[in-house]
Amino acid sequence: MKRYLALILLGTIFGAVLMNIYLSRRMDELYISREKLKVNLYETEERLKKMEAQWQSHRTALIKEVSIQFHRPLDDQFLELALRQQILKLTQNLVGEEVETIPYPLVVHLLDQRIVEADGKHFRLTVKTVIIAEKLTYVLDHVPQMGQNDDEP
Amino acid sequence: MGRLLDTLTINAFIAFGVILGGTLIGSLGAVFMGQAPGHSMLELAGKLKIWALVTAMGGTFDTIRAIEEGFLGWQVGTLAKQLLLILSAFLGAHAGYLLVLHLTGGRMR
Repeated sequence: MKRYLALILLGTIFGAVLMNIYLSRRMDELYISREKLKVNLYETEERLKKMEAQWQSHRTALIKEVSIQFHRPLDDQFLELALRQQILKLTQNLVGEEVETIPYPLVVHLLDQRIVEADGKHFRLTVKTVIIAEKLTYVLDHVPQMGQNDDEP
Repeated sequence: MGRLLDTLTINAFIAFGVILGGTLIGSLGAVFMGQAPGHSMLELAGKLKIWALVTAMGGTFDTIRAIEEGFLGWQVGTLAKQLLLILSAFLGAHAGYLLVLHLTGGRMR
């Protein structure tokens, strides 16, 4: 009985060895293709991680610069420069804010209908357009306010 | 002389069997562990060569001691016998290795 069991076991091993030899080349090819696919997967995952990181950093873009444009240029360029400077002082705190999370109404109401003094004259500003991006752009209209000059009594 | 030839033949076949058995049965284990069978056969055949020599000679120390005694005592016969034993074991092991090599269609390492 034990002899038969041993023979069966030997036959099984012999059969497995023969099958192994017969299939070894095909299994080797499959193994190599699996390894290649692993490498490809790794490369793709790494590329995806980098792209996701880039996308993430792109998402958290910050306001780096504030640009002021006037809808109607002032006749006096010095006055325009002074007005621009006053407006830039008001918008200074916006630099460094995240583009995605900045409260948009606040950006508009910061300057809209605001009276700003420049070179002793007062101007009421109206926000025509705001472009919120890394370079925040205001397009403003200005209306001189008579009777509010500091020089006047 | 006849006895020496017997020993040499048995040595060669032992080494051959160690390589063949170790490689073929060992590669079954590699298959179970998800490794490439052909590649593992070649690897095992290369690694087992030296062990096949050792196994065929029944332990290295006796042979080395015999070589030493033969060399120091000018016993050329003993020295030649041990060298022939090593050579026969090597031939058997190398024959097994070549067989495995052709079975797997691989290139010689």
